[in-house]
Amino acid sequence: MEIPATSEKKPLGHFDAAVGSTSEASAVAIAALVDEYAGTLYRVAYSVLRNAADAEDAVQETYLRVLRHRDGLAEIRDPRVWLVRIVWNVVLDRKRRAKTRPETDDIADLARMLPATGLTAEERVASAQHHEHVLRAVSQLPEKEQRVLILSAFEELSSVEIAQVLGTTESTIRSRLFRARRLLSALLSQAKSQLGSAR
Amino acid sequence: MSEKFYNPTHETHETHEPGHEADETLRLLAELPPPTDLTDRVHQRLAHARVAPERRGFWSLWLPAQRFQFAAVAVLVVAVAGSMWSVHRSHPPANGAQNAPAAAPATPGTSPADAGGFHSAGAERVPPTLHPLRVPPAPKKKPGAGHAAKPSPKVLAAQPAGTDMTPKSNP
Repeated sequence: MEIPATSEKKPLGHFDAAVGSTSEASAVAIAALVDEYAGTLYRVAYSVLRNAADAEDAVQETYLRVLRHRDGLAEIRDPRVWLVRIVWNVVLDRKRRAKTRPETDDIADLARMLPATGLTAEERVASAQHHEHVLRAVSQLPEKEQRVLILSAFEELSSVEIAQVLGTTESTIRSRLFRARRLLSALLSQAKSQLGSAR
Repeated sequence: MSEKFYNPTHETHETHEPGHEADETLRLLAELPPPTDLTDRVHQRLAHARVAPERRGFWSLWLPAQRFQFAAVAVLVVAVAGSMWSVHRSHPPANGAQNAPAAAPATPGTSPADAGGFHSAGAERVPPTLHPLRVPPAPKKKPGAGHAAKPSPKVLAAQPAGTDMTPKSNP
């Protein structure tokens, strides 16, 4: 996994000096967090939930939790990782509750939604089929490896930050990522051989 | 967002590093754009959430704080526990009853009902208004006297109706 350069960390304490009262300061700080990170949080939520409405609900729930704990905002050092961690927990809670929902149709729909501009109609179909195979293989991975693999696709998250989000160490993240890729490779080659024998 | 999209017809063996085939798909998934007015909706929701607690009005008078709910629950728990303890105290457990000496017969005025407890279903109730019958002690029997005192039925039958052995007093 590529480790991007350390992102700019903006502690939230600097809002207090600009605005007078604490409640106003926290309101301004939360508004700034919404403007800056709502898109990232939405994409993290969507990559797990794979549903636009659910992902947006998760983002809103995340900011409501921030609002409830607004008194401690000044102590947050890295708001981006902190917010991703909150939205990750919200998303896992929602996914656990909606476990009975079948995912097979979602994966096929999602594969068709992924961008494929500049391709012919035939190539688009082939591309969507490939994405579908990959997403099905990812969904078959063990939960821990699956989570690391999903978060590693976000370019703005380093392995250290993924470790902070998942509450583990960087070495654990690296070993899980290695295991996930090896398993995924085996699953995809198995799926290809099955397709070849069917034809 | 990257403008390179996955094209399966152009794939080569170099791109098929073990496990890295899925990276492109996951990257595309991670880069799907959020809705345009997402931030506006989040701002609205937050504004609504900030105002919402002040709208409770009447209900805040009904239950001003959660601590009242906890207090009510605590009172209920104490009441139930107290009543259970009083019942347990008035009726000792069956195991203890086996080793205990036989209970004294109930006497008026000392029944559990009078003590404020409960009756068991099989208990014999003694009305407090009923005084116990006092039976005088039986006379001591003398040896041989009992036979003479009680005439046999045969003797009574042979005796004529007019002959009464008892002395009649003259008026």
